Amino acid sequence: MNVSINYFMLAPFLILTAGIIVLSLMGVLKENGKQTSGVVASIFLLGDLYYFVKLMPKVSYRSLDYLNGAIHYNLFNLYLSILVIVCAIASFVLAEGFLREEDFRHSEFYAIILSSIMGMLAMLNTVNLINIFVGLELTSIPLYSAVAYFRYKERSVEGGLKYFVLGSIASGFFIFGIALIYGATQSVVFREILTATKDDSLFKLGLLFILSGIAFKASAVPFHMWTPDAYEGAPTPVTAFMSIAPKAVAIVILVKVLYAMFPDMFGLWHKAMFVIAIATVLVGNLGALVQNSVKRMLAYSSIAHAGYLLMAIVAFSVEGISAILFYLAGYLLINIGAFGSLSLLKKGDIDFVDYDNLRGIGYKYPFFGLLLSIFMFSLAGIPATIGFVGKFYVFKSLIVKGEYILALIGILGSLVSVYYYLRVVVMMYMKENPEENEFKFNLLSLVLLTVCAVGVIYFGLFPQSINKIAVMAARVLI
Amino acid sequence: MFESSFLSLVTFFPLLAVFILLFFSSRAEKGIKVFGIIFSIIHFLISLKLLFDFDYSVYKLQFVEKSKWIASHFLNSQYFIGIDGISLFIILLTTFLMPIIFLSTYSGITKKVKSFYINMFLLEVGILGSLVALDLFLFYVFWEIMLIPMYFIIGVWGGERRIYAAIKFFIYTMAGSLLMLLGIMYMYRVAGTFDVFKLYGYHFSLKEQIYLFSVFAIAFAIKVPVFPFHTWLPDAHTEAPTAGSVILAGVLLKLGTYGFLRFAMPLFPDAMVKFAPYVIILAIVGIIYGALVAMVQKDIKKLVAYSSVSHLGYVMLGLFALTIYGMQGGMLQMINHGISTGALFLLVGIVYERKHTRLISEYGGIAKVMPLYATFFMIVTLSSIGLPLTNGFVGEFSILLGTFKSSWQHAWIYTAFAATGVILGAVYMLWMYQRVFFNTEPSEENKNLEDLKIREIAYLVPLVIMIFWIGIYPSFFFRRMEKSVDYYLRIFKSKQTVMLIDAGKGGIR
Repeated sequence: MNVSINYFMLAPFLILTAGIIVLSLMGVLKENGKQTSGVVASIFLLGDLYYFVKLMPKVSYRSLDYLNGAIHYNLFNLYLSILVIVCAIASFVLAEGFLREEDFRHSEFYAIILSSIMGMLAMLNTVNLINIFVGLELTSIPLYSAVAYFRYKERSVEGGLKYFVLGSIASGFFIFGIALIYGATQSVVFREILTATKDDSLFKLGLLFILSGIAFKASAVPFHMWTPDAYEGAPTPVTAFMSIAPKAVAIVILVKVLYAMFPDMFGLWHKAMFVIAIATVLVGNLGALVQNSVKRMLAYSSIAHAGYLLMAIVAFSVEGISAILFYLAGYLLINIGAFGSLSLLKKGDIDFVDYDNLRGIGYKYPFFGLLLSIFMFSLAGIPATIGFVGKFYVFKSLIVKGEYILALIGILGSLVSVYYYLRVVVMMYMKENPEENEFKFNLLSLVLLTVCAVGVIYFGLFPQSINKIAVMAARVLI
Repeated sequence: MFESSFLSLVTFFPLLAVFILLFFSSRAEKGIKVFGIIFSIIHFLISLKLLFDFDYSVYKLQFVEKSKWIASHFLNSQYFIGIDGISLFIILLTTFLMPIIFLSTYSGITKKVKSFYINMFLLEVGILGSLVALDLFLFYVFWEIMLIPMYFIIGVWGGERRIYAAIKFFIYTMAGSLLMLLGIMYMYRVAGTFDVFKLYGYHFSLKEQIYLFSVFAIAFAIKVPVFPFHTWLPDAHTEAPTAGSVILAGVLLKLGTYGFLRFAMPLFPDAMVKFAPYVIILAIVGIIYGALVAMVQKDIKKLVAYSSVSHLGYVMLGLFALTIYGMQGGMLQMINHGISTGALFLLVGIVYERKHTRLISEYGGIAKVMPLYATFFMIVTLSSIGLPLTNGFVGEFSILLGTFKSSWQHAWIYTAFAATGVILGAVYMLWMYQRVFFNTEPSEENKNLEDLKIREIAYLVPLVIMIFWIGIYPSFFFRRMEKSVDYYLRIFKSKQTVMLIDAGKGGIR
């Protein structure tokens, strides 16, 4: 068989591969390469971003397919690809300042993250299970090392190891699930699986394994154990990245698997997702209540937010999917902001991420306090922020489908969450005698956070533009 | 030039103040304070145009503005604002109280002055916004936004247990409003609009109404607060700074009763009728319970806080009497409570600033040292008790009359119980007055207490004028509410008739 290579379809992957090679070489060849490595990495990402944005109008009414679904661009996939890349660029900006403060900057760091992003893009832009698995591994393995990037810090290594061990098991689950499904249908392509008659119990087993594998990546309960440790151990910009991009990808892969391959088994997975979603919201919120470290609290809260998204999956409607897509865009802005703010509280190699470190900081650094408050209120879902609109879309999609119990539990969860998000604000503004820490805020990071905060409020008041694209993207899937 | 968007101007005017305040150096405390006072006076004067141009000859929404706001899939909300006789006076009360509050905080707030004024102005936007919003989504946005500045006001400038009080306040209110949010989503799903006036015309089934009324009622009942949901109030009031207490008692609580009147009652009239006896009983329990608990308080501010529970019980009673007297009385009592209780908190704040204690036992006999203060306190006390010629009398009297005349079974029993609250009110207020101002000779320390300053008189006098104005010439206010009350009563009646006809049809089939 003679297959001509379509460079146009492969372009984003080629660009990133080039980026990974260049960055790896930069670390070896040039001693002072580390100064510019962040910028170089961002340029490659911007190249990809440009490609995807240009591609968007072309796929608004059709999809582009290459090699029988190995690469498959449609609006839904592009929306998320853009999200991932924006998230990556933002965390590079944060990482620049963070790693400089730590004095541990290497070009390899960016190469690692770039390969992870390539994995995510491979995972997103395909309708082939094997490609999803390859993407999954390409995403995860660099992330294990990114978590353990500060190799001289016990916590970092511990988090990385935990993530690695549990993550490998999950990958095993996932590939085993694929094998089972392949056994039942002789295919790994979505649409062929979709049309296969699913009366075999192999299907159910396969679905179960695939679900478990992805649920792990989405840190859904009961597969969430690694999340707090990995998030806490990882360098904060990496945490910011991890809490958004891989999680968003995992959630949408879940959506795709369930909606594009097993819509006819709705009755079966509906119950499973129902229970998982409720458990995730409850565990995430209750776990976050009792933390002493803001970073760990945010880790648990990210579990809770995954729970809200899982709830929207249960809704099984265009509205639910568009709610997920909107929520993810909002979550990108907020979480870059929240973790980004935390990443600024750093002196030398010490991170100040406990609640007590925030004492009175709102008065010492008023602007910083304002930003972090906006992000906290937004995470808590207070109106006029994007967090509120996101939750509104999610819960409304549930109400429309008559899932009142889910909606009620989601609401209760976000009520609980108000307490721990407010605790950050309490510490910043209502406790006196701040600790004697002088922080030097990186200007570029501050600008980024300001943009995020403005976005949080602007899209909180006028969500229509994001919503419009999200709905168009969601229609592709159903 | 602002004719077409005058109401928006009034609502968002304080944002201008926030913007200007950002340019003040936080050291320039005096400048900030003076600016706050002047700005709020200007705001009040501007808002008076609402009163002068208000047409009360027929019921209609006035100063209406309607434009698209969020037009997206699955969520369409309008920027729809306007006022009628129901919201008019609460809006004016808000703008009227702000300069008074700022005058009182001139010496009361000493730390982080700039942030305090910013928070106050933001709070005002939230309050005005939720009063003018006629779109449920818009309303909800303002309703929640309001919590943030209030949370800061209690939590940063409050007393010793301020953080506890602030978080309790926030979570309590949030719990109610999140439930309401579910209700709003459900209504939007069924009716497809957030427009309150379109929703008035929409007919929910009885079962839906019962659920929806419950969630709305809980949200508003927490805010009011109606009896079993009141526990956040004493904490919030006692811990809040004087300014916070005044705005909390004066306006924030009214949003609960306003919510009942504007949303919960007309949207779900059948459920409302079903629940009304329970609400009335809770209101009466609140009246008596609040009064009894107020009686045994050692702290003056706590006493006033519990008296709020009692007074707002009257408002609820009046609204749920579903007679024109009762509802008018209830609405007037909202204003009265804002003025009288606001004044009481200000007065408590005055001695607290001088002596840094609010325990009744620390005072006694201070009428001798502070005669002017005692006089003002007396007037306000009497108005709070409801002595004829003061505002309290008019409000309570028409509420009781309205309850008596209402078509509820055993209305006279309700009236009788509620009337005991009037007596209890006199007991706790006068007893407190006696212990603070008479009883003994003033102690040595208290002999040096300074009487009212000119600034303090300046902000008390307008309140006293209002007390007598409403007390002597209430028809000025009643006239402007009348048509709106009529309109709302008609909504209840007509929607219930539709329900009856529906039920009749079902029977025949």
